[in-house]
Order: sequence, then structure tokens, then C-alpha cells
Amino acid sequence: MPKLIAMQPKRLGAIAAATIMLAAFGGAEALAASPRATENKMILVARQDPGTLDYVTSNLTALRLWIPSNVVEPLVYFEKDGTVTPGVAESWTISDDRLTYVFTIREAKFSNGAPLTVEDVIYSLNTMKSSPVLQNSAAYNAVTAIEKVDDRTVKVTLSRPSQAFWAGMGSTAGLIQPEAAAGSIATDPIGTGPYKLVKYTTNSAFEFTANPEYWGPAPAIKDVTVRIVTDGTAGLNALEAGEVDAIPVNTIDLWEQLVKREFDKKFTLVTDPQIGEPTYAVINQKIDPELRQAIAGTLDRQAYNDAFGAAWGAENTCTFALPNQPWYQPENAESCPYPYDLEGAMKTILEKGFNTLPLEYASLSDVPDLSLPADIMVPTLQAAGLNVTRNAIDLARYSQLIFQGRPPQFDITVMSGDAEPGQWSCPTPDKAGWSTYCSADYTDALAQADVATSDEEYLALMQKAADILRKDAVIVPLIAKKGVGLFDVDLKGFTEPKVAVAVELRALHW
Amino acid sequence: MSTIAPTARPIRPKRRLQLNASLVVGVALTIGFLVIAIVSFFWLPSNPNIPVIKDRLLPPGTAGHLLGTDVLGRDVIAQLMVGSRTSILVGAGGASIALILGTITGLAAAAYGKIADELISRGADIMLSIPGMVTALVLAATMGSGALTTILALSAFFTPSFTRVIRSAALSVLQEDFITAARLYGRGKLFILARHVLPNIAGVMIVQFTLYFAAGILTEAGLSYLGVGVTRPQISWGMMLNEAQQQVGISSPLAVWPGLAIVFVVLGLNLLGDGLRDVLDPKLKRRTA
Repeated sequence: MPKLIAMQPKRLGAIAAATIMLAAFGGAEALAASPRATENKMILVARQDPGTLDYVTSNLTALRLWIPSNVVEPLVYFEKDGTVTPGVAESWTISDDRLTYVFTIREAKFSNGAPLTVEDVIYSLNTMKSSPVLQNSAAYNAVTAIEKVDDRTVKVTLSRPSQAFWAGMGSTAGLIQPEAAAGSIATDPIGTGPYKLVKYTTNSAFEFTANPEYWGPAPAIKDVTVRIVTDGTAGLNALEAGEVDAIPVNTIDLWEQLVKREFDKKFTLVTDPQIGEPTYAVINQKIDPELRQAIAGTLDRQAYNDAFGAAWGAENTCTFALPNQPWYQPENAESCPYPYDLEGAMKTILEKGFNTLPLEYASLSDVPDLSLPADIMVPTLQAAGLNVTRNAIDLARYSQLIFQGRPPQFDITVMSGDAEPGQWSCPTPDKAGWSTYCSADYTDALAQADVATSDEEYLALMQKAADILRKDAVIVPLIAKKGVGLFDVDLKGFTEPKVAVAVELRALHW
Repeated sequence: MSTIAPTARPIRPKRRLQLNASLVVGVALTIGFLVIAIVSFFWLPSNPNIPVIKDRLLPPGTAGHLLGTDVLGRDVIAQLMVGSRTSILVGAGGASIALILGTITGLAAAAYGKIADELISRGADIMLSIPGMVTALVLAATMGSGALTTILALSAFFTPSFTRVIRSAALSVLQEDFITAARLYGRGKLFILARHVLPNIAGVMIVQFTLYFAAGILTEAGLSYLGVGVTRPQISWGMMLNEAQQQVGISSPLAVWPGLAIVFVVLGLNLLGDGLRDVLDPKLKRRTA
């Protein structure tokens, strides 16, 4: 005992010293600012490489996260509170009958130093009007003329009022590019945005720097690098090691790991529906409607949600939408015409003889957040008595088979992507979306919504369209996933995207 | 001389013991592997493809799931057992096709004159200069991924190696006196190759087969890990590794089990090959005698 008592002060001293050291070094590590903060830079992580930066012909999320809004601006911006603020157009007037839009173009320069002209605006709008991307061209369905009024004014005339046109002018359909640089859009898009693209290296990185010609206040962070790290775990490791400052979009397959490794405590976790995605099954429209409904009845949404172990960021739904869209509804008896009922589905399959029909499930093998649902769906369909085989293919073959396959080259698949209801409209069968889904009723409902003259009318018609989509059991939503971002605690200013899903780089600051 | 013999002779039993030990371990591991694969056709702890979400990510040692479950609640042991079938199918399939093609081309190169030898040998050189993994990726891209594609890819880049080894062994046998005797007796080339050469190079063929069987399993696991091998409902250990990759931060053992399975099976086949070579190789026999 005396020895123990005699040693206690020393031990206490050692413990105290160790505690101070730990606090000093541990605390310093926890509080250490990113080295990029002092250099006014930041490094972000992207999970996917878009392959092309041509936003006219491609609507890949991997592209739309970075180029719109940051490099190329639309005519106007729609703010979160519903107000409309100037973009490339510094002012505008809309006729009372909503058939004539007159935009006054600001005196500004593109990031390559060329002056912004009315001719560039007319060229850009006409280019988007003929874009192969339906979300872009659909905004111009009612447009009959795009004309120059004077050197700073453009007039757009519509044949009927169109919600889609006005919404499009604040989205990718309204992006303005210089006609002279259109040839290099796939690798070096030019715009009037706060940043200019310095370099894009395929499968490696985007490098941005503040655009010296930008008409607005300069962004807080001058140089931004977006590293393309396809391995999600490697991206998280890089963030933990301080090699990067943020991962603005984390796919659902990482959410459970993210929480288990306490990234939500060590970094700023932001959740935002707008950069989220619905996950949905697509059933070939040619399949008997009763079989489609039976297949829809085998889908246990809670199982899909639980499989990702991240119920905090995903909600079960039967509506093709995200929670920030007013016609969205979570899974409930009213919004789900074909709720999970495996026994009922099995009975129908057996009674109607659907069990003898060979079905092919096209499965994307190299995208974890889509292969996991397939791992649940295929055995469940087989357990329900269906003769389903799984055709596992990579993204390149999937694009060829699913997006370009005419007639449809699959029976069932699962997808995750934009919550844009217009992508399923088909004014003519040849305009059908990638799944070749085409419903006259649904298209009509969307067309009626497009000419709505009030927000209430628009919402009611969009709800009607969503209902048609649900009952058709071709596009069968499973879960609505929020966008989940991780940011260095000192990197602040994340705001919801203004242009589609674009990460607003200009708003971020140390 | 009398002093050399006593010191040289005691080495022999020790060397033989070492060789036999490697053969015994190799045989034990390989038989264990084959037994597991055969048993999997008759019994499995549970369906390895049916998700049981409530049982997801159970740790090893859980009742009913000795090695735990994966992210969808599927039993790891059941998946490992079914994965062993794929390893046998692809590894043995690729090595067998390569053995057959390599034997035909190797014997032809050895027995049918200089032009045939040059054509076949240079062809093999060209094929060997193309990385096997690239061949597999190209085949997967054009034909789609799956067991058949992997077997074809394996046979494509194993065949030239078999050709070289068989050619070399056959050339050696063709120089023996009994071959000359057979020729003088009027036997044709095909008869000599089938009756005299093949039996004498059988040991080399068996050893090569075991080694390439192991290499096939490794390559298949690599391709499935990259997502261009087999896909569910087929199960591969490489696929299990791929699936476990996303769970490393959540459930690390998931990546350990298929990794260990690959290590033990490949080790077993390599030891078996080494042991068989020691037993079957006549030159080695002569050296040790």
C-alpha cells in the first residue's frame, strides 16, 4: 500500500500528461482544418464518370451534378421559395395569356472571353429544342418561334401555355452556350457560370477555377477539383484520411457503412431529396396487365429498404417522385394499388398459368445499388412461381439493351434515376422513353398539366398522372432515396440545387 | 567411395517423406474440396440465393449460421458450398479443354515436322503474348459474362502453355530408342503417339492439369470479383468477395471466408501437383534413386 500510495502521484502525472497529449493531438486531428482551406481550394469526390460533358445529348447524373449551374447557366433560376431570379437573362416579361416570353439578355461574357449575344441564346434554345434527351426537348413542345427582337432581347412564342417551358428555362433545357464553341461541348463546355472547366480527364477528375468573366460575385473558393473515385469505400477512406473535403453524393449502398464508421459524426451529413433518386421496377408493357400487377404484388418495399440498412435516408413509396415533389406520397393503402401480397400474387400466377411463361430479368451487374435489389427481386419472383431467368449485364450492354432496344429487349428490370415524370410521356410511340413505355392516358394527363394556369390545377393533374402510372404497373416504384452528402465540418454553405441536381459549388466556403 | 554412400543414402527417406507430406496435404485439401462440392448437390444449410432480410449480417457463430450471413441474410456456408461447384466447373472445365487442345497441338508440333512445329510454336508464342485477363474481358464484353465465357477464356490462354509443355515432353520421348524400334516395326505416327508417347507423358499432363486447375480457380475468382465472371443464381467465391467489398467497414469476416476458401483450394491443388510431379516424373525418380 505505501508503495502504491507513493507511486500514485507519478501515475496520476503520467495519466494526466497522456491525457493532455491525447487531447492535444487527438483534438488537433479532429479540429485540423483541411490544408485546402488556407489555399482557397477544395477537392470533392464523384462516384461516376460521365464519359461526355455534352449536356445536350446526355442526361447522365454524373454530368448534371457538375456542369449545369457551375459552368453553364440557364436563362433564369428557380429559388427554393418559388421565386425566379436572373440567370443569363437579366429580366423577362410573360404575356397575360402565357404565350409570349420576352427575355432581356445581360451584358456578359462567356468563360472563354467571347461576348454573350442574342444569337448564342437563340442557338442554344434551338439546340435544346431538338435535343435527343426528352427532358430537354419536351420543354419546347409548345414553342412555335424563337426570335431576335434586338441585340439584347429574345422573344419566344408558344402555341399554348406550358408549365414545362417555363420550368425548362430554369433547368438544363434553358442552358446557354456559345455557338462558336459548340463543337467542343463534349470535352470543354463553355458558359457564363461562376466557374470555368480547366480540364476534364476521363475516369480521373474535373478541374474548375473561378470564371474571371463571371457577371456575379466571385465564388468563395477559387479552385475546385472533383476526383472520380468509382469505389465508394475508397472515396470514404479518402475523406477520412483528409485527402478530399467532401463527397456531395453518396449512393445508398454506402449508407450503412457510412453510419457504422461514424462518418455522420465526424463530418457534416446533409440529406436533400432533390439530388436523391427513386428506385423502381420496370415491367415490359407488352406483358399481360394481370401478370404485371401480380409481379408488382411480389415487391416487398420494406425488404428493399431494410436490405440497404439505411431507412433514415429512404422511404417506401408507390409514387414515381421524390418527397420534394408535391404529388409524392409515401407507401400507404391509398397510394399503392398493388401492395405486397406474395400469396395473392402466387395464386394469380398459378390460376392464370403465368408460371409457364419464360421471363427475362435484365440485371445491371456492376452498379451495387441496382444489383442488390435484383438479388432480392429475382429469387422472390421465382419463389412466387414465375419462370424468371436473370440476364446479368454491364452498364455498356445495359444501355444498349434497355435504352436503345426497340422493341423492348427485357421483361423486368430495376432502375434508379431521375424523378422526372415527363420522361414517361410519349406524344408519339417513337418518342417513348428508354423503357419504351407509352401510355396515351398518362401522356394526356401530363399534357393537361402542362397547360394548367394555376398551381392547384397543375398539382391536381400531376397527381392524376401519377395515379395512372401507378395503376399501369409498368413503372413500379419501390423506394425514394434522398441525396446524402458528406462535407468537411469546416466546409459550409451547401444549398439545394437550383438547376436539376447540380451541386452548387459557388455556395460552398471554408 | 565407401564414405560417400553412407552419407548420401540417409537423405533419400527424408526427401521422400517431404514429398509425400506435400502430396498427402494436397490430396486431403483437394478431396475435402471435392467432397464439399458433391455434398452441396444433396444438402445445403439453406438456399444461398433467397434473401432473409431479418437475418442480414449475422456474425460468425450465430446458431444456424456458423460463418454468419451476408447483407441479404443469405448463409455464408451455403454460398461457399455452391461456390465450390463453380470453381470446379470453371477451373476443371478450362484446364480440361486446354489439356485436350494443348495435347493435340503439342503432339502435332513434336511429331509432324519442322513446318508444323514452327507454325504451332509461333502461334502459341503469339497467344501467350496476349494477357489472359484481356482475353477474358474481351470475351465477356462480346459474349456476356458467365461460366461458359470464363471457361472459354481460360482455355484460350491455358492452351498455349499446355502446347509448349506437351511438345517438349513428347519431343523427349520421341528420341527414345523404343520409338525408333516402333518406327522400324512399321508403326504409323498416330499409333506411336497414342500407344507410346501419350502413356509416357501422362504424368506431365496430370501435373500440368492440377496446376492449371488451381490457376483456373484463381482466374475465375478474379474475373467474378471484377464483375465479368459468373453472376447469380450461380455463385462464385470471387463474386462473394466482390459483394463483401462494400461491407468491409460493416462486417469484415464476409470477405475473409471466400478468401480463405480460395487460398486452401489453390494451395491444395498446387501441393497435389507438386506431390504428383515428385512421384510421376521419371527424371526426378532417377535423380532420387
